[in-house]
Amino acid sequence: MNVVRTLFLLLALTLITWSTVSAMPEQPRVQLQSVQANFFQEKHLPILAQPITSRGVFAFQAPRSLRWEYLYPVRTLLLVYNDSMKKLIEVDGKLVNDPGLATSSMQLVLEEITNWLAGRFSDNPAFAASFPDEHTIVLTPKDAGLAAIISRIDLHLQGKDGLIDTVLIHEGPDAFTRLVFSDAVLNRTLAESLFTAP
Amino acid sequence: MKKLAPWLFLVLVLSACGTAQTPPQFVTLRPVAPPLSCADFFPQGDWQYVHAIRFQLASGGGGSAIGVVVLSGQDIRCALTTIEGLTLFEGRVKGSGPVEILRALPPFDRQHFADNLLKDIRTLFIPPLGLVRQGQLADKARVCRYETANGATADIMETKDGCWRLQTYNPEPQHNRLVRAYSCEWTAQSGLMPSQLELIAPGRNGYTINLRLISAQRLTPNP
Repeated sequence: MNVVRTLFLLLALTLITWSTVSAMPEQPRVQLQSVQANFFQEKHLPILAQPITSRGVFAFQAPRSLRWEYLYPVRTLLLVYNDSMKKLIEVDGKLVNDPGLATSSMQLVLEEITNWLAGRFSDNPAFAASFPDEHTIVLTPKDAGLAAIISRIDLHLQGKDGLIDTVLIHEGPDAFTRLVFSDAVLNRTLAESLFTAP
Repeated sequence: MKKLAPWLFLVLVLSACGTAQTPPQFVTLRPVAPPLSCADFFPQGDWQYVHAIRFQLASGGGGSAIGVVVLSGQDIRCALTTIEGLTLFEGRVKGSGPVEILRALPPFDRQHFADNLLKDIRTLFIPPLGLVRQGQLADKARVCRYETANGATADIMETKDGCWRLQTYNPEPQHNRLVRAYSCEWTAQSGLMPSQLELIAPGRNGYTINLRLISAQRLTPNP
């Protein structure tokens, strides 16, 4: 798996946030129709005295609409709607197309979204899922190439409702990204424009 | 996105074609009136900087990343990550030793890329190695001129907005760099710290890198 696919996989993984899963993750308790939430991201590296922090918001509407927006430190926006996907980045105060996005990654993103939001943690052939306790799901790459990029992903569920509130993406010793989600709003009807326009 | 990876800072390994330049005429000043001090243009002590980086190729295209630079004397550690947090490159160099790649994803795992990346980081944050003289250009701009053993010259000068500009002149013009610093704040600990930096490698295969400061953290106090 190349870097780009992995990057989008990481993004897709975060979308499981706030999907409700049971102790049997293959059988979600609730059919998630939409979710909006804030996220806070910390990037840890051995060389960093303090982690790099980012924050943003995201929205998902079943079956395949997505808005993933970093607000700080660099405003970027990923919009997925039907068969279209675009990524924007703020330059000199204006959002412009980011030329770095190829639509070839779209299928992977959507497949991951579908799997995660449905609570199918074992469906991704790239990862082996294990459940060390009722609050944790651990994903381990099966492929050595992917394992060189991501050594492990930990998904932490909160409380008895099983909402996923934290994702830890381990890259190597002392190198990981932590995503923490908050203020989720579930199953509200979301405007189409949220997924099509900045 | 596949197109991004080969572009993203790989441009730094490309040679920028440029015409040979010679440093402008220079009149030595002595004594030099304050506040000009050559050391003030560079960080004092050990620092960690995090920048939002945007680059553009002269031939078109560009991209964005997050850059981390940790300065410890003449030692440098650095990392590039995507905005989303994926580590693309992590490396270090001790003094004038070889650049060590600690972690890198293709195509950033090439030694040539690492060497050139660290060269540009040195240009931005480390005083040039060589004899330094303070003087004045014909337009009255005050300048610190560094002359290195390999025949290269680096002029760093004050700008009217209280910041600085650096121009290097190399026997091999493809190695020339122009750096403009903007929105500087001066403290005794940090020197003239810019919140924006622009590095230009001129020529047909050149590139421009813009760095916006996200955070600056002092790591150890000055002795």
